[in-house]
Amino acid sequence: MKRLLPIAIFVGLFILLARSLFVPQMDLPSPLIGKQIPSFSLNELGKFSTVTHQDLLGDTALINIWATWCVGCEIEHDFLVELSLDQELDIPIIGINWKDRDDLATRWLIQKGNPYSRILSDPIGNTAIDFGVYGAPETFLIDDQGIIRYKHIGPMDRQNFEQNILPRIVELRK
Amino acid sequence: MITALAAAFLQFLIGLKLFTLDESLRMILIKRFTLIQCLSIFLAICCLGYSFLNDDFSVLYIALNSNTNLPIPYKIAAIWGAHEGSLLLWMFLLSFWGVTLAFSKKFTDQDKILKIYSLSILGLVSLSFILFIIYTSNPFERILPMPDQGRGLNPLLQDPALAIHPPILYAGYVGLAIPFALALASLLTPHSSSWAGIARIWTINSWLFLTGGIALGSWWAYYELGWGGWWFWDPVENASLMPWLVATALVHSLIVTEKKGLFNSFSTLLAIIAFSLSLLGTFLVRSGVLISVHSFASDPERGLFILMLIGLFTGGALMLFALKQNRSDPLKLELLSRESLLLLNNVFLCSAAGLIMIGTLYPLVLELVNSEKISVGPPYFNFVILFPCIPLLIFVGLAMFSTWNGKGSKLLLRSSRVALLSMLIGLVISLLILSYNTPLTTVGIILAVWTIITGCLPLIRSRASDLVQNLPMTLAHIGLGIMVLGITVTSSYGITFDDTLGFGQSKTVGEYEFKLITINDRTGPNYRAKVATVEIYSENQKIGTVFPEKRVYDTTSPSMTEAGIEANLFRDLFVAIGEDLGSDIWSMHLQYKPLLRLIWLGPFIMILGGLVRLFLLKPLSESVNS
Amino acid sequence: MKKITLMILLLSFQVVPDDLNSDLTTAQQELYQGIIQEVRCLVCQNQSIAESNAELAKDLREEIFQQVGQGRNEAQVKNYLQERYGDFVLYEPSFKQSTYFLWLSPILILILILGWLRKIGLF
Repeated sequence: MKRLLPIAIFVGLFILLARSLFVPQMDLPSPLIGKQIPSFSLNELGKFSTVTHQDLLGDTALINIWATWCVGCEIEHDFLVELSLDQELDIPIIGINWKDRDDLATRWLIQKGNPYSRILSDPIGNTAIDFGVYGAPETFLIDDQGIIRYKHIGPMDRQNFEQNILPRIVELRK
Repeated sequence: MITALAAAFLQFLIGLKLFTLDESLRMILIKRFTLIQCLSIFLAICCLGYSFLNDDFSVLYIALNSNTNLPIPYKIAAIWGAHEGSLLLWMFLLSFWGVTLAFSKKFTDQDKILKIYSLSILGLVSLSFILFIIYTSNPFERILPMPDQGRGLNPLLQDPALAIHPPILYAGYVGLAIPFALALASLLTPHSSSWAGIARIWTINSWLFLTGGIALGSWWAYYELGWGGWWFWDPVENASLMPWLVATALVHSLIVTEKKGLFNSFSTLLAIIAFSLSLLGTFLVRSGVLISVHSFASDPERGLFILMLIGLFTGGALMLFALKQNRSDPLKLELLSRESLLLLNNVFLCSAAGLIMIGTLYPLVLELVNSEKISVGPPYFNFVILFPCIPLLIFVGLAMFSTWNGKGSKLLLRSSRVALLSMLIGLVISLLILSYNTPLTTVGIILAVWTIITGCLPLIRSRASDLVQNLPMTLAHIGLGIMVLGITVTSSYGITFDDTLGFGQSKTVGEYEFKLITINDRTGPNYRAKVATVEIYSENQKIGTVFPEKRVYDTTSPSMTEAGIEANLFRDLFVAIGEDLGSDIWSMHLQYKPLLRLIWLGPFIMILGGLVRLFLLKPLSESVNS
Repeated sequence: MKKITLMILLLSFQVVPDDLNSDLTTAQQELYQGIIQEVRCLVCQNQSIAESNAELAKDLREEIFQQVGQGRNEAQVKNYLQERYGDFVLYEPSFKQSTYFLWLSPILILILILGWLRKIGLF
């Protein structure tokens, strides 16, 4: 019995390590899922108005954290534009411009297209911290009560969207 | 490379051939093949080095890790700067130790078969690693068309201490293969404990290199990483600490096995575990399974290969152990005899290793089983490691009073006087000389003093003839005590300050005043830097000037901070540059760290002890009072 | 002495950027230093935010600095981070059901050792 103990422990360890080799590292799960979006008050890009979290309630929507310095945002941008033009789906995409400059952001959107129904500026980054953002782009799905239902980290593509977000949107809209 | 492969294969095979050849012939052949293997790999390394020096960018490995601006010493160090080359280094050291074993004169005639078996096992290990290199990690792969310029060596690695850190550490890791092979060989042969004396030599050897490698890594982290930290409980740091702890236990267990013939199964098991932990460390660094500062390659395919190797060697070894280890008599030990205390301490050492293992792998487990992501870092480890370490230090001291097969009662009596003395000194130091901090601090200081004093005892009490014999133990334990003292005092009494300073401004930290004079630009061979001039005053006397830097190497890497350190044995004053805030104002990182150097002085003394032991080794059964 | 006073006066009128001005007491500095070493940088995940040069690390250091300056204690600051980033961001694993084994392992090992020692007769 004593002889077998070391080998038993080893086998357990081995299995653990073997499995972990092939399971991809999971993204950081967000503790905010199921909770209300954090309260904030941000300037709207290019306008003199302020937008608060209250203004976002009432509709199922996507909140996309992006920046002009972020490579992944560039990658997902075309898809976001496509999404915004989808009349049938009709899902508003709210952009939060993170740690960026208004003039750079405006120029970027003019050049590449604007998928956003509203764009908020978070130059300092405090709101992004409240959202638990650690790497742009990040996209949140919120329901009409403002509860965060899903978070996607990294560039969004069609496959990911249809697999993870679309079903949830459909569910929420029932 | 191919010759090395062939040689290793033959080395292994020779050991296996049980029937046709007679023993002395096998011995000669196996020694020859071990040597050939070693020389082949050495040749391979030389080729790689030659290509590096010639900036041969047609070799992919060189293109990735070097460029024409790299200073020559670092071109050599780049040989082991990344995964493929470091494996080549690993192999070389493995074959080198094999050669030292092959040509060692420490085997008696009856043990010849032991030697043959262990060399053949080593041959198998070599074989697998060589296959690994050839099939998945070949440093000689070509890239065509040949690029004009290489990418360059990671700036972090362009540092003398870090350049030699891998070879030293690897020498330690790989060296554990020898006791491993010897242990397995002993399982395969009828001789029960003669392997122990031989194994002990090579274990101490590896232990020396591991101690050196770990201490070097810690010291480098301190002065290079810009934050003044010296141990982070990073998975790869842990992966080097675990074999060290087990190797320490192994050395002590082998003493008992060699001298008394006891603990044979423990020694065998420990030898197997020690090398397995080395392999595990290799696996963790190269598979990408855990996030770490040190991660070489995040390649599941390579990880799998290594895991298979671990399965083969550890699994095989443990099975051999389960099947072949003789049933030993139930231990009849006197309470508080030297044997039992050594056993107890080994248990604590291994528990420490076990706790570290649990902490390191727990996030992995949780992620797989529960889909949760947590972090287990310094707060956990610093707390948990106290549980085995405090009893360990207590019993290490007690063990100094023990005798072989001795009774417990006399021991307690003899030790209590020294214990009281240590407590007194410790209290004086922690309460009067320094100022009161926490109970834990006081405990730490008392234990350090206790370890140092008890470490000196054998030396004081022994006769002149035994003096040298006891010196290694004394040195090693004094070194341990010093290290503990350094750790305790620095952690408890160190002060850190982040602040903004403008040119000409100063800030007081503790008793010292740091004044930022100015910051200039400077260009090095392959970097641009901002250099600060900071003067340090104590009681209004200038005691030093330091020049911390912030360097930008080329292209891809973020900036590196070189700290400015003003140090003596009693304290370190650490300055690092932060951010440029405009208007000649910079954020600065200032630290006062008392007794920091002791953390590395300790291991240095431990290494001295080991060296003394190696060079003046007499078989243990000869000396009376060891 | 006069020169120093003059310098201090001049400097106090300078606009010192928000990043780290010496508004903290010594105890608060200590608290701040202690906390930032126990928070993981999520960008370079193998460093604490104390060591990391990443933007997010700087932002979080700034935020923690402010909070400590406002009098918050360690638990509050860590809670703040945990609410937003989850357990991963803290180097000290929280004590909850899934980490019972982790935190209790030293005691468990101690008990196992004692049991084994009894078995082989050392007690």
